[in-house]
Amino acid sequence: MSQVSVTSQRLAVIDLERRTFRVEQLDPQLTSRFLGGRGLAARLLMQYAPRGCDPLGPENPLIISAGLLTGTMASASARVNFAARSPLTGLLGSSNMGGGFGPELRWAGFEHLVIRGRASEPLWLYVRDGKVEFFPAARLWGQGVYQTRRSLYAEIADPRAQVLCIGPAGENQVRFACIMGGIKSAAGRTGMGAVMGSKNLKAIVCRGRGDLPIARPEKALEYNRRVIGQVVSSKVSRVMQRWGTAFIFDVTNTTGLVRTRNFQYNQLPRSEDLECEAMEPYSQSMAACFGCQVHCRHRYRLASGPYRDFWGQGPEYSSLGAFGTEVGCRSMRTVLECNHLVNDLGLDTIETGSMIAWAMELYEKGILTRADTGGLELGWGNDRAVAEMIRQIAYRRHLGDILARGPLPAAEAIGKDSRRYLIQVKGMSSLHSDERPTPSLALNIAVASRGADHLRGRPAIDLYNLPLDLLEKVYRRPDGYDGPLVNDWTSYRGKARMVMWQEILYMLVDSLGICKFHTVFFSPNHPAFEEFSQLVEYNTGLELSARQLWTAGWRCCVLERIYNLDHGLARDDDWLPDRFFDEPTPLGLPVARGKCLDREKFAAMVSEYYRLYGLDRDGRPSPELLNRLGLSGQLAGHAAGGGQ
Amino acid sequence: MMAAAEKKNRPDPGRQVRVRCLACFARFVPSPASDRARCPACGLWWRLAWVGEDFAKIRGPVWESFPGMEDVDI
Ligand code: SF4
Ligand SMILES: [Zn+2]
Repeated sequence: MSQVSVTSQRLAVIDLERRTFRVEQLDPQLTSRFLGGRGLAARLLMQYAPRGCDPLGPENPLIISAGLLTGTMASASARVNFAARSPLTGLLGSSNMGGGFGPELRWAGFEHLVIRGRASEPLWLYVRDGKVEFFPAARLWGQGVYQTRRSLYAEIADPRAQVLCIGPAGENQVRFACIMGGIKSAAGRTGMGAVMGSKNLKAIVCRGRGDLPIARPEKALEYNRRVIGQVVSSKVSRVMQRWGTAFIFDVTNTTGLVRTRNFQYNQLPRSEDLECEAMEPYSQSMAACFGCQVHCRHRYRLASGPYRDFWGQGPEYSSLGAFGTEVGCRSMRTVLECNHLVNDLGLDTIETGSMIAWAMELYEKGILTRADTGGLELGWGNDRAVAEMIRQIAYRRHLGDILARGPLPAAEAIGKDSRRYLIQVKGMSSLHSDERPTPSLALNIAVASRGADHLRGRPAIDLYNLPLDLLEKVYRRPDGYDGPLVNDWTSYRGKARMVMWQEILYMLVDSLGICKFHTVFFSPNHPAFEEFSQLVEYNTGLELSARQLWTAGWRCCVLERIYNLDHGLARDDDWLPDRFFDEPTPLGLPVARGKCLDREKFAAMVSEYYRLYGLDRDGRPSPELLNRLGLSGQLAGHAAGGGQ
Repeated sequence: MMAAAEKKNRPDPGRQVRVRCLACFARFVPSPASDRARCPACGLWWRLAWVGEDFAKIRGPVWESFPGMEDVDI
């Protein structure tokens, strides 16, 4: 096998129609400009996706990209990114996954797969040692994720291989179907599973025996040890090692920051059985992604019921909202069963829970009736109905067929006053957090590049009321920002900077292939630009200062915005539904109760955010910004012909 | 070299355990291994969970004493 060089990333362009592939080496300059993973994927999407292509048509490529540090000696370097034009939003489709597929892809000889066309019959791909092979998948079609994995592992007889696959939801092109990289790891958001299904591609198996040359292995090891200490010793990591991300629920539900019964309440009182501690009777051990010392994932098993004897992983914080507070259910068991169901059917947890919660509110208001639901009583807290509605969505039956189209098309199909009750931005539903009391978190979901999305710019540490000097230490680096910063999470002042800073940091880690929980997400003391600069140098030999990484992240964020502008994004899309401004929160602690957003102040935040980025008042990059970031010619200029 | 944050957060069985009230942000010392505690500053009652002997966190409120729940029926 050819020697790997991190400055010249390897890409396989796969043609499903002809069942051929060719290997390319990317221009090394692309690495220092767009790094890898999510950032470079946005650049490849501009190159390979014809502008305005049908998201479920053969011309929409599915791009799978390992991060620049994925699989190296940097800890928690498991991440891999999926990109395409989103069938959910029509804008940027982009989703990031942990587990073990990313490192395996690199060991198999590739940093990127660009999958084009549509197979004439179901296929699965075997990517190994620099080659791509094509196999019929007709017998796998229709199988759930668990069964598909079992069938493929039995066939290849190699337990070390990594399997990506879709479930029935992806096959049926549910617009928020996900790609599963294990029984929990998922590229969940923006409908990448539907894109894979539209290509008649059931699975990708990957196995590599190659190695990644580390530029300065001793230094990389020593420095990484320090970074691990920095992460693992933090209090929040200790909590995550015990309870996973579910720990967040205890704080947010207590405070009144949890979307409940769609958006009618901001807290589910007396929901002890959804608190992270309620997982303990089910949890057998904690699992981790490749190269991570935190181990934030419960491995659980249900002793009875329809999923008895299945191993599951999770639940994430998002599952507690999707199948708990949003739909008015108070049972951890319901959460676990629904978690199992969406993972097996290959559905995005957040979108699925949000769509069902929205349908429940419509049912409560008489906009939907039993005639629409196939006879299902869609009342709050009806656990059985939630599980049944998940199946209806995946198999596109009854109301499920309408919900499967995603928020905006579903509202159009249902009509009446239904759109008013949607909690979405840019056509993608929000996590179950309630941002009415928290302007910074609200700004984050309003402006995120792939729709309402906490993972693209959430300044979660804003909720800690940290001392101002600590906040300044974090948010003034590495570019010397000297504008306002405020350590009161109810304030609108100084928050645009926090959101921009987090967006650039998250872009950086998504492009490097590092887990967000190993950077400034839950802790101000976790690694950021300076540490990543060292990790990049020791692992790859690329000398990129903290400031240069900042600029690279900024460039990639602007590039994602350009992609969206090319597909019709306007200032109005960086905005929230009216309910955020008109309906005050009814519950919670005094600090979170009676709160809704102020339109004028919020508009000023959006403007400040644009100004900090160098965007004009409509959210478009100025010529100076494009020039500065080396992106001139990108706007309205991408791949009219669909790449090479 | 150990970072300052690392030193601060290192498990230390000898250190006095303190939790932070989610309502008023005051820090207070709960009795060892107790599963409930009252914030001395604002008077709210909290249920606690213990991460280890040296580290407790708030699990949730004691709902009966949570403010403004009188008419809430969801
Ligand atoms: S912290 Fe959790 S999600 Fe992140 S790498 Fe570790 S196990 Fe995976
Ligand atoms: Zn208090």
